[in-house]
Amino acid sequence: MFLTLLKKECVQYLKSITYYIFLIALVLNFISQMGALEVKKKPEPGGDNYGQIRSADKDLIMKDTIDGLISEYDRGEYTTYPIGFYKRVTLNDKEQEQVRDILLFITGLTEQEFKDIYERYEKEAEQVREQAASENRAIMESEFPPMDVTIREDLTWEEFSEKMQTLDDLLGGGSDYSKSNLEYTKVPMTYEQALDEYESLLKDDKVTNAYARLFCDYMGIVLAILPVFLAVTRALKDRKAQAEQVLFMSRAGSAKIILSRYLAAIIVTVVPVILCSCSTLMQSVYYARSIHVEYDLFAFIKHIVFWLLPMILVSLSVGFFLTELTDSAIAILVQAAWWFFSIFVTQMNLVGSVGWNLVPRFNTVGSFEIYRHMEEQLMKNRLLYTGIALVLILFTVIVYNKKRKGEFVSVGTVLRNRKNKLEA
Amino acid sequence: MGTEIWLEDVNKFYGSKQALKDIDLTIPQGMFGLLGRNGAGKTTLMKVLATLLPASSGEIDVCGVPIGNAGKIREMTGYLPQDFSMYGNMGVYEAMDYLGVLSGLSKAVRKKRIPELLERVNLQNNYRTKVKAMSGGMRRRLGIAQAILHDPKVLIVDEPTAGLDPEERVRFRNLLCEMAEERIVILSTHIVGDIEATCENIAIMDAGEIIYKGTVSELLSIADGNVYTADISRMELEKVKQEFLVTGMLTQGNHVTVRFLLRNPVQNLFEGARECEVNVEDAYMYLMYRERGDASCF
Repeated sequence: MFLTLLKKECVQYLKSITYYIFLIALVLNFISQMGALEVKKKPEPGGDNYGQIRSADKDLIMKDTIDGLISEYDRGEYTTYPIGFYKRVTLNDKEQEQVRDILLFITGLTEQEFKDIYERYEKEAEQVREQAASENRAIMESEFPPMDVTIREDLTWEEFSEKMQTLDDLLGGGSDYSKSNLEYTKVPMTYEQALDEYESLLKDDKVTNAYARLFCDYMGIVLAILPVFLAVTRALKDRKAQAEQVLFMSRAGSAKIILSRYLAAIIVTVVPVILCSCSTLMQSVYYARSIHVEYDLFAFIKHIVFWLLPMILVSLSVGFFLTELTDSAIAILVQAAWWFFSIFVTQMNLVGSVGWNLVPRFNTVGSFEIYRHMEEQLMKNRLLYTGIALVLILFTVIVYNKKRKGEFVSVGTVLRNRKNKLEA
Repeated sequence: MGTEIWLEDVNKFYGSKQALKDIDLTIPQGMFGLLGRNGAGKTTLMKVLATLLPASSGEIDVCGVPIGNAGKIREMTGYLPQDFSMYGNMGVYEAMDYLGVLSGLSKAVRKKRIPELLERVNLQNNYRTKVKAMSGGMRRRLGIAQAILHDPKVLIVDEPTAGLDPEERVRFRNLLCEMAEERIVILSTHIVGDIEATCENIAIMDAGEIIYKGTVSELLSIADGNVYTADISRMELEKVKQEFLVTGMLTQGNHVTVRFLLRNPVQNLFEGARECEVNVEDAYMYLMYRERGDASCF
């Protein structure tokens, strides 16, 4: 009997406009982010650019950071992400002087030495600009000559990061110079490192697992928020259709009613995700076959179950629980806030950021070493969210059962009754 | 297992407001009417009997089952709420099938019972009609069909004829009478005509209290000898209204035929007033005036 009810609940979702909006958003996200598979080619010696790698080398981080700072100081414009969104900060003359003082402290140069170097650099930069203007083309960042400054030898990491934090405060926060963002500094990869990465993609990831992680990264962004709409719409449907009391009177137990709706929501959410994954799976299998390496046919389904499913469960549980509790759509606001926070805290590290965030990020193909380090935390994270989802759905059953017996009146109903009384 | 519902000393509070006051009632098999004006507490009582609201105190037994056993009560109770509807995008058959599954009916039983019931409520040609496209009357008929889908021993219908046109109302009353042949049907309404046409046993509620319980003929006897009619001129109407409890008037040119109740049995009558047969409406109005001293409704 439960299966018959489950089937009927699935049909209910398939008849809902909200579900088709969900599907369109899901598929558009998939097409725009994954689209055609970007094939990783074997690196050749003597290449210009092998990509970047995260560095723990503090000297490298300091050098890389100062190069970036000089470039921004030169332009007089700084890029920040104060609440997760891009912001261009322009400093006034006094504030620019403060930045220059920081640069003087870090480089150990006198004001005159820095001025001379800076003027020399400006001269060369001007030539690059004129050259580009005469050829009527845009200027690449790499065309500018390096500014010949070095970090003073006795500068400690603590002094450096403290000065960078001062600079970040001056810029209003969210810049590359904040203490937390300094740890995610990336440096250019060498040929050897790039080759290791490639070998790891073939051996450790069997190609398919690397693409499955990228798939989960992109799909996770939308699956942490979209399912809540399905849950809220379904839970509000009884009241909207004035069918609540008839359903309350049915012989079916509260657990049967709620779980059939919950499982149906999971099914109609997961099936299109699996179908989307088939496209990327086939492309990555084709790629693996073309270079004669092993592949894992179950890579995507495994990642969907362990990575994306807990996210779907939580989003749906929050939707069902808060809607039954309040008889309102407040769950959408709560889930959206949670989603926004998760996306925001991981924005500076898109590869390998997990912690206890709802939306783990792994926005790259490969980097198996980083994945290996985060795997244990990812498992703990996903188990936690699965547990939260199950607890919330259990509470939903309890609340629904109490509502059926008239032992619980939702906050939404109380407020609506009060409003009606005032209007009357 | 018993065949009646009894309530003893039942009270229901919403915060400090008392919605049901010391309700003592026995409801036998057949049609039972619960009459009262809007806000009298009828819907609260219906919901308590349907286990949708817990009573604050008192005892209730439904066909031998204590009200606390909500699961068992739901198994043997069908309920048609005041504002029944189902998901708008469902067809009639689909809605019945969905509710049948929720009632735990097997596929074979659903396949047999749903067409039977839809035919009984005259919806046999509307299997695919969407709920959102149904008229009020059709929706109520669907409501009654779903309420008896699991063949309950008790059927509770709350204000089923409100908003229906006269034809639909008559059809619906007849349907309820048919249902009552084999079960307890509790009909809650504020429309006196519904009770008059269908029920033998009734209770009248006001301000959360039962102010009358008994048969319709007993109710009529309360007002016996107190209902009069007279043909008067329009000029006299105001005076008659002040002295008596006017329940009806028919104006024909300069003359008015009034129907009225005596304020007390020894009240003096005017010339031309003649006693007439009591109907349920007269008796109800007389009772309300006698019990509450409330003439505001006249």
